[in-house]
Amino acid sequence: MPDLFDRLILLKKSPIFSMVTTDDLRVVAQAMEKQEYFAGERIFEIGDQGDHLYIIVSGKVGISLEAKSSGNGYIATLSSGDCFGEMNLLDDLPRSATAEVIEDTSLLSLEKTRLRGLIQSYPDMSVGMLRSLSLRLRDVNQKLMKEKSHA
Amino acid sequence: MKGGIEKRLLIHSGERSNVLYFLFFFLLVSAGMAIGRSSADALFFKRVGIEYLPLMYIIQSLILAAVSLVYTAFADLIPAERFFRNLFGVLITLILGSWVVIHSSETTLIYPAYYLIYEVSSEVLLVHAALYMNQNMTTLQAKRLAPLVYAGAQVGTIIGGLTLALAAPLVGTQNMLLVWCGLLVAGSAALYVRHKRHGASTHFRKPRKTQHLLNEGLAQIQQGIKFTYNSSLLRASSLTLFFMVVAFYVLCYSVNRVYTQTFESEESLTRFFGLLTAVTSILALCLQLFVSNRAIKHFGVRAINLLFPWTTLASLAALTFSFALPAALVGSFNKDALMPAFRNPVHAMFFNVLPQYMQGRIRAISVAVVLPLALLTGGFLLLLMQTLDTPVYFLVPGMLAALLYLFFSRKMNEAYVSTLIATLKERLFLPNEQMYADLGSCSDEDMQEIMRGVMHSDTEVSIAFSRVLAESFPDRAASIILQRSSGEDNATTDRYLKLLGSLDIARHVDDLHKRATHGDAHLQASILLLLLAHGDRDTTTRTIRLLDSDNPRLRATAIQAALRYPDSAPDSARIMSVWQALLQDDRTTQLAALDLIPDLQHLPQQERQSLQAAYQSAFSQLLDDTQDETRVRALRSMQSWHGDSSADIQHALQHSLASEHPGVREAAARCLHLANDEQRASLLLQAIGDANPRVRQAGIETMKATTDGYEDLALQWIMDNQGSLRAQQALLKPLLDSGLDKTVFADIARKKSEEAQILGQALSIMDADAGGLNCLELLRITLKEQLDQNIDLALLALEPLYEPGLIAIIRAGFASGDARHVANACEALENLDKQAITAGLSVMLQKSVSNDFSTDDSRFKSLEDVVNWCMNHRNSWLNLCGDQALQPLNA
Repeated sequence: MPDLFDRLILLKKSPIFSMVTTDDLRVVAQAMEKQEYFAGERIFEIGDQGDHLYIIVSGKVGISLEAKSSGNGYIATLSSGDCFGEMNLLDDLPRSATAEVIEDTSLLSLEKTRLRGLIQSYPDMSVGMLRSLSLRLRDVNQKLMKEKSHA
Repeated sequence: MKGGIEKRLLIHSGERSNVLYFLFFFLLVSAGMAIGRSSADALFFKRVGIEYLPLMYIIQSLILAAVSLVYTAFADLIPAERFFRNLFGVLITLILGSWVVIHSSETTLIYPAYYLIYEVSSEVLLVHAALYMNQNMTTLQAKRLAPLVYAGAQVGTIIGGLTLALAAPLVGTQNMLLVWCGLLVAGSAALYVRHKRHGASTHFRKPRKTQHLLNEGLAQIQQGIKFTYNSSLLRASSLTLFFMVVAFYVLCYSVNRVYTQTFESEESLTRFFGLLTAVTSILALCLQLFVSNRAIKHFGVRAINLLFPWTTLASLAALTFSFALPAALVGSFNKDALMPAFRNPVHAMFFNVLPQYMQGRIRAISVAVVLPLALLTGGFLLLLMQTLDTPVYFLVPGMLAALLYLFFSRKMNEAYVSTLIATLKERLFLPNEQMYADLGSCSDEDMQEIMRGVMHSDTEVSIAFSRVLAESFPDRAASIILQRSSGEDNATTDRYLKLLGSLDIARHVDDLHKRATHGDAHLQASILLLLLAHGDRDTTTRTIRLLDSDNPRLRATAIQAALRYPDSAPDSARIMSVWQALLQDDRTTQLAALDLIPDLQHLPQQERQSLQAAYQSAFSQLLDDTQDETRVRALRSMQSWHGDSSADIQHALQHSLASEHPGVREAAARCLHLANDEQRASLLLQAIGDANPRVRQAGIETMKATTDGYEDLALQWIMDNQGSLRAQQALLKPLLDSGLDKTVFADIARKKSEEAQILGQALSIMDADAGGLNCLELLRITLKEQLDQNIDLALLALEPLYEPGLIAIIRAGFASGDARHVANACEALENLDKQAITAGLSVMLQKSVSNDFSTDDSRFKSLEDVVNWCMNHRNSWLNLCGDQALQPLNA
């Protein structure tokens, strides 16, 4: 049970589930699988067909825009609580970046087909997901507007 | 310390820099305007004469109309800050030009010109300042912060007044124009720096580009007039403004006439004006800081909206009785202290409820049409009346105007909430009843549209439209569906034919027989059942012959035919033996036997009992199947089962309600009449609180079917907080139209509002005490979710208490998550009748939206108190989170 509560917190912090109620998120938390990666391993590469969302429980993951990352070309470094690959849960496009493990990492992953099944079964959850995505879109729009007005 | 001041001034976290900027900006602008105003008045009254003031009002009205046209053309088209910069540029040029003319020429015409520059620019600045604030704040923010920002403007006015009183006698009134210019330059610089850093105004919506700004301006005025014509709030608001301006300018003229008579030299008049400005502004500031926002919060926008009309009426009455300095000072206090403290912020809030795209247009109408017309009226009135012996001649019409101002302010109040709701509805794109009505009626055009769907190449689309066709055009549907299904495979044809159940198929019997002959056993059984249901006797004998068929479904169909037409059937022993065999074979035959459950009622008791035992055993096996589809079929058949249910079935029902397959859960919810009495309530609550609406609906329908006094039980569960909040919401919805006494719903709303307040108090403790532990963080999140759900439930309960659709719009406003809609929804809720219920709810909503739950009054003393309360709560999820949070606290 404690593991479930920790998973729920991680899910609530992820941009795609932040507006889904904890009560509804229980089924998602239970559907997540634990995965371990060692430093240097690739979780996925740019162009791969993405089918998982990942949330970092511990460790560090570097995101780069190159298929063969040299280790110092990361556009972002993610750590505990960060979420990546979430857009692939809803679209069917290939991965837009490479994710490489910097430090030994423990992840929770959620498979796309599993999530889609859960959405069909618990449609109230999808309303929360839409709200989360809408908020994210608004954030991005505001950032763009700000950058545009600064320019 | 800093936090304490911010709390006292109602500044929320993250708003500090915004508030400081607006305070500073309005301070600069107001200081300049104070200098401009007093210097313009003093120079005009002493170097030209107050008897020309009514004439100036008339000229001012004409110039204002023209300038406003230009303002209208630009107001909505560019961000408010850019318009401010342009306006300041023009103003600086004009003031500098006036200063040069005063110093280089003897003409007295420059003083009326300077007076007009001040008067026209001050009107435009006042209107535009409100638009600027609206483009940067929500209604709720404006309600809290506008009085504070206007207080900043008052500080500026005090500084300006004192500067004038001290400096004018030393440097000369005419040189104060340069100080005004300096302040305008500083204001421009503040604007530039602010928007360079933070970008354009947050709520500014960039309009489409246009080449004809003047035409656009005229068009905006036309649209504004049209909008005013259609909106009760704007009609009342325009008339209010008209009579307010007439009363206001009569008051201005009267007090200035008293002052000009009392102070003989230009220096003494300028010094007096400077001091008067400073004193009235200090009073206005005190009011704005310590009274205005609290008064608006406490009494509401509508009550405060009536304050200034009353005080204006009283001021004019005082002058009528005594046209001397004390009454003039009362008049000045009214127009220079009460007006900025109460009238201006409230007026801005009234405009804030309108759709944003119309706000600039409406303000333009006010300045371009209403204000000039009112000024013209006031000017002519004073011009005609001032020559008469006594001021009563113009004061009495002024009082009449004030009375009408009061009357139309009341009308404005009446239209306030309905406009808030209408704006919310429009912005949230909520359909009106006409749209539902349109959807409900079917015309030939609809038929064509549905036909296109039926003939669609995608089978799923076609079947969905065929279902609509069968419901909307039952007389024509059968032949169309049969035509569409020809050529499809057996399984698809079977899906189409299932839609014919309620239609007249008499003309298609031959066609159906033909299809049965060519189809597989499954399709054959479906067609035979369809024909049997329609009483086709030829089918009966043909079907009964299938008792010996290899296919279990055909055997089951034959049993059905034999039971319905016993005169054509073989002996009953033969039928019973085939039936028993179906139930005892494998799952395929058991599934076929499920179709026969409704026919059990045709059997004698002894035979029925023996079959019921066999069915119970078959149910247990089928519900234990790993295939969801098998379980769904078994559960669906069990909906018509009214015999005993074994312990295995009880267990299977519980298990099925927790299934991940929504069809299994829905079917299980419809079988809860089979649950034993001890378990039924909790299982029903589980189904009614399901995250799938179909399961919830199934739960509600089963509860209605199995409970005597469904309404009483549902109300009891809601009031006792039984089940999840979603379950309570699902229980409440069907009750809303059930004709129950409205006090019942008021009680629910009150109860849930109180629960929300307790949850808010719990959150206040959590925010102050909770560390970084995950279980405490999860408890905080859960409490917040419960708070929001409680508020929504309370709002839902309010629906029958108000006119239809009103609360639904407010709920949609909250659900939108958009700060502006949420703010308008809060404002609408606060201004509804039955304040006792809605007031507490609105406070909790505002706290929830701002995520600020701080309170001085809490039933909880510590985090342990909160956790213990959660653990004893009836909501199982909150219970679980509380239990989890207790462990680290105990450790």
